[in-house]
Formats: sequence, C-alpha cells, structure tokens
Amino acid sequence: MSAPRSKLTEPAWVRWGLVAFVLGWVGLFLVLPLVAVFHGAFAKGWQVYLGLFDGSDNGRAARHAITLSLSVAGIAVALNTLFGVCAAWLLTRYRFAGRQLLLTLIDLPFAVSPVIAGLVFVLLFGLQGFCGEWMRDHELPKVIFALPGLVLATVFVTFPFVARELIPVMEAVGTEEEEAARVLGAGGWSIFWRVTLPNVKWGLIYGVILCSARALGEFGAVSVVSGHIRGQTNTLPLHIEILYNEYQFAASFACASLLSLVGLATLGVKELVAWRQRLAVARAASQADDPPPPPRQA
Amino acid sequence: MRIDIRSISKRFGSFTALDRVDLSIASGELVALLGPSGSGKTTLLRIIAGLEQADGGSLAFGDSDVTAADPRARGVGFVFQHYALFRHMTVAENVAFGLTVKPRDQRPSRADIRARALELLRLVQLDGFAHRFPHQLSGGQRQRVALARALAVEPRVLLLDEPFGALDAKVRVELRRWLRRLHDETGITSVFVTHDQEEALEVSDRVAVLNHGRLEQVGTPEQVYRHPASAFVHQFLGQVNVFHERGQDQAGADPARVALVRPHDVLVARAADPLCQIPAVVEAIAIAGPQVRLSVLPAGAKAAIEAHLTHDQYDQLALSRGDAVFIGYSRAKSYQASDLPTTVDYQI
Repeated sequence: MSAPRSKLTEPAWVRWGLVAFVLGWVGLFLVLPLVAVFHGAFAKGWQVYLGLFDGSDNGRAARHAITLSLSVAGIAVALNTLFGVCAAWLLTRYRFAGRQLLLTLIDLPFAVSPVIAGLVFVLLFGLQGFCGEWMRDHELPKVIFALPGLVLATVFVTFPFVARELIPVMEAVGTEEEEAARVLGAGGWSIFWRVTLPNVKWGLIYGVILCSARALGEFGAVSVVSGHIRGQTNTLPLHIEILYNEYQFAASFACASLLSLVGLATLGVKELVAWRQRLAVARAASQADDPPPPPRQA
Repeated sequence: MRIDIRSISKRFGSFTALDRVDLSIASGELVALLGPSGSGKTTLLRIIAGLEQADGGSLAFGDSDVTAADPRARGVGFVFQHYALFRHMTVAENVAFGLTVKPRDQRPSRADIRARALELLRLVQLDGFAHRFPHQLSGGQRQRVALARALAVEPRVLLLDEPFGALDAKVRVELRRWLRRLHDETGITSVFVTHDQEEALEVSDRVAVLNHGRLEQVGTPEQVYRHPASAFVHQFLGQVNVFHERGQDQAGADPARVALVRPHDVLVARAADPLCQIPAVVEAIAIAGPQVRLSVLPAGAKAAIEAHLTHDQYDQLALSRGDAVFIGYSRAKSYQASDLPTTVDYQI
C-alpha cells in the first residue's frame, strides 16, 4: 500500500490492532460457534448425519419438526406480509389520531420478551384462559399445544419486520404517482398492483426475508405454547433442545446445522437482493449519464 | 369544457387555503392561477382535479356538477409539479397507462394503445424515447412525457401544477411557448398554476390572481398588468415604486394615499418640467440588455426609485452617476396606503 497517507490517518499499529481485534472477536463469537455446530453434526461422518433423518423414530421426528417449522413460518410470514403492507399503507398514506401510537405499538414485539408473548396466548386460549373454555364448548379447534398456537406466537414475534421495512420506503416514494394513476382512471387495486407494489418491491422482499429468518428460528414464544409433543408440536428449534437434553448430541447438532444452513442461506439471499438493488441503481445512474439524442426541432 | 367554480372554500386545520373563490373558465380557454406560495392556487387546482375535497361551494364541468365526483370520473388530465412519472415503467408504458387501466369493455386493443402512445410521443416531440425510463430523461423531457400521459386519456380539462417550476430558465421559456402552441392546436380547456408573473402573462388567455385564499382579480394579461384591481395585484405583477402623494402640483393631496408606478413609467429629465418636478440624484446606472436601469434617490427620501429607460432616452439625457435630475411619472395608480402589501420594491 503506497497510497499517500494523510496526517489524519491513525498510525499503522492502531489500524492493524483494530483489524485484528475485530476479526478475532468475530471469529470467536460468530465463526467458531458456527464451525462447532457443523463439526458436531458431522463428527461421525456423512452416513450417520444422513441416518439421523431416515425412517427411524428419531428421523421421523426430525423430519416432522422441519415440516412443522416450515409450515408455521410460511403461514406467519404470509400473515405478517399482509398485515405489514396494510399497516405501512395506512401509516404512510393517512394522517389520523393515534397514528403515532400505532407506530410505537408495531415495535412492541421488539421490546417484549418472546416468552411473555407465549404466556399471553396461553392466558388467552389455554383451558384455564379467558376464551379457552368457551372455545372448547363450541368445539373450536385447539389453539394451545397445537398449530394455531405456534402460528400465533410466531406472528407476534415477527410482527414488526415487514411493516418496519416498508414504512420508510413507502414514505420516500410518496403519493404523487398514486395520485397520478388515480386521475388517469386507475382503481384502488390497479394502483396498488401496478404503481405502489413495483415501487416498494425491494423493501417488501427484504422485509419478508428478515421475517422468515426470525420465524424459522423462533424459540421462546413457541416453546411456551407448544407443549413439546414429539412428532406433533415440536418445531425445529424445540426439537434441537429436546435432543440435546436427551444427550443425543449428534442428532441435536445435525438439526442445528440445518437451521444454521437456513440462516446462512437467508443471509445469502438478503445480500443477493441488496446487490440486485445496487446494480439497478448503478445501471440507472450510468444510463442517465448517456446523452440522450437531441430532440427533433419543431 | 366550461368550468364553473362557485364559492369554493377549503381549510386545513386553522389555515384557510381558499375563501369563497368564484371563477368561471370558458371552454377552450387557457387560464393561469397566479399567486405567491400559500395563496391557495395549488389547492384550487387539486380541488378541480378531485384530489382534494372542498369544504364548501360547488364545482361544475359544463352542465354536470362534479363537486363530489371521483377523480376517475372527471375526465381530467393532471400534470404534477415533479411530473410523478411511474418510475418503473418505460416512457411508452407511462403514456399508455391511462388507456390500459380502462374497464375491459372500453379498453382499446393492445395495438391501438401502442399506436396512440407513439402518436402522443410524436406530439410532444419524444418519438424515439419510447423505451427509455423516466430517470434517463432530462427535466424538460420528463415534463413532456407527463403531458403526453395526461393527454392520452383525451381529458376534457387539462390541469398543470407549476408545470415549469422545476426546470432551468432557458428550458422554461422554450417549453412555455411550446405549451401555448400545443394548447392552440388541441384547444383543450386548460388551467395552470404558477407563481411566476411573467409566465402567467405570456402563456395564458386570462390570469386569476390569488392571495391568501382569495381571488384578487381575474382578467386578460393586459387587464391585470395595466389595470390592476388592487395594490397587491399591482405589486405582484411586476416591480413597482411607491410615491407618496405629498405634493407635486396636485393641491389637496391625501397623505393616506400612495401611487404605485412601474419602473418603465418613471420619467427622468435634466431640468424641471410640468411632469418631472421631484429633484433627485442618480445613484446607479446598469445597462441591463434592452433597457437601462437607473437608481435615483429623490431629495429627502429614504430609498431609491427604480427607473427603466430605453437606450435612446438614456443617450439623450447623457447621464452619469451623481448627476442631479428631476423625476416624475407618466402612469400611476393610487391606493390607500393601508392596502399596500408589506413588502414594496422602492419607496420614497
């Protein structure tokens, strides 16, 4: 590096010291645990790893946990996407009393421990809860210790992600294009699908990715409402804990490695989206620099 | 399409944007809504478009009352100040948008829509730009795309919000002449908002001057410029000097009244004559293109008077800085001093 150094630059030992410190810290707290997970999972080789997902009881339970996690996350993300779009629309397009309160409330799940969220749903829908008995008398499907409870808990925890990503984007895009579409004769649906959505597409995708990652990994709230019924209400994170408590380390790490892979894949997709977005912006900028052909004289 | 605005009022919280405005616009007319910022001109335009609902009054297009009509049903074309082009659509898709969202039974075929879009792009001199995106165009080009998009649905009324506000000076002058020609060709009833008096005077058939949500005057450019109905209009439509009527030769001059005089109506003479009786000193001379701008300080006055002379007049007077002269005016209009807007250009 022979670039001229300004006097404002720190001495070399400070810079290298900082780099070493940060890299060491990241290695210790992020890379090492990740390596440990995969090491634990593959400690006994490929055969054993794959055997953990075979037709045995253990394998079936693991496969069920994966399917359940994916379904719960799928439903929760779909619901929160719907809610997030509605909330962002409401909060950026209208001014109403209580708007600030709603904005704050959306952040509530960030502030409240997921365990409390789980407990709230048990209080509401458990047999001893406010609605529990009434729901049983009316033969409504069970919520607690069943899929609906898992979905509710996950929805609560992942509530803010889509809305939080969309609100600033929709704020920045503004309402003029929607007004233009309206004057041109477009109805509400047309405006949403053809004008609003394309403009906030990347923000929405980003929010959905973050929401999915959080939904798949959720432990605390889900743990409270699940009841830990093996092969029925155990999501992947819960299953990992059970295996670990039963001293089945290889199986536990195998499942953990799967969950980590999903996490890494999410990061990858997130980066890909960010990269595509940057590429679009860069392409737009470079095209704008081309001098357009001169307009025809009238 | 004739537009009748009757007693339209609009408030935003405690702010009165429009206060019982009455205005009739004849079919095929090009009318400018002129006023300073906060005068309510954009609000009035948005009410005509249906993007804003009036608190009181009524609005009619031709014989049909559209006070409460949905903007979709009004048949207006609206050109936004910052164009509001659909950024993810090409120029051609932007122009075609209004046609593609028509109900299925009224929608032209794909080929027809495309042909119509290209025809409009020719009209605004942007053929060859169909596949570009808005961000690849200059401000003036975007403005013309916005215009083509608004015209595509064959609106009964064309509304333009500060159409040249975001453009640089040279493009602005070109584009407004072009808009005038386009209006003469299409003959569509048009209303545009501007805070630029020169633009309003040059482009429009009639000018409606707004101030604090009230209509101050409506008239042809000549009427509002030469026969302003109020001190505000007089002052807003160009530079003015303020002469207090304290003497000259008029006996019984009223000290509560002032005369507003445009710089080109100020007379300058070497020797006192019946018209030029106020002694003054030349403070500054600026050769500003076609005219010579003098700054003259009358004896005992606080601020200088601005006088615009032709080069011939200037040559005849052979003035230089510090010369003693006599000034007067050829044309003035007097107002109650209390009606005077708070900011004035020049005052004795």
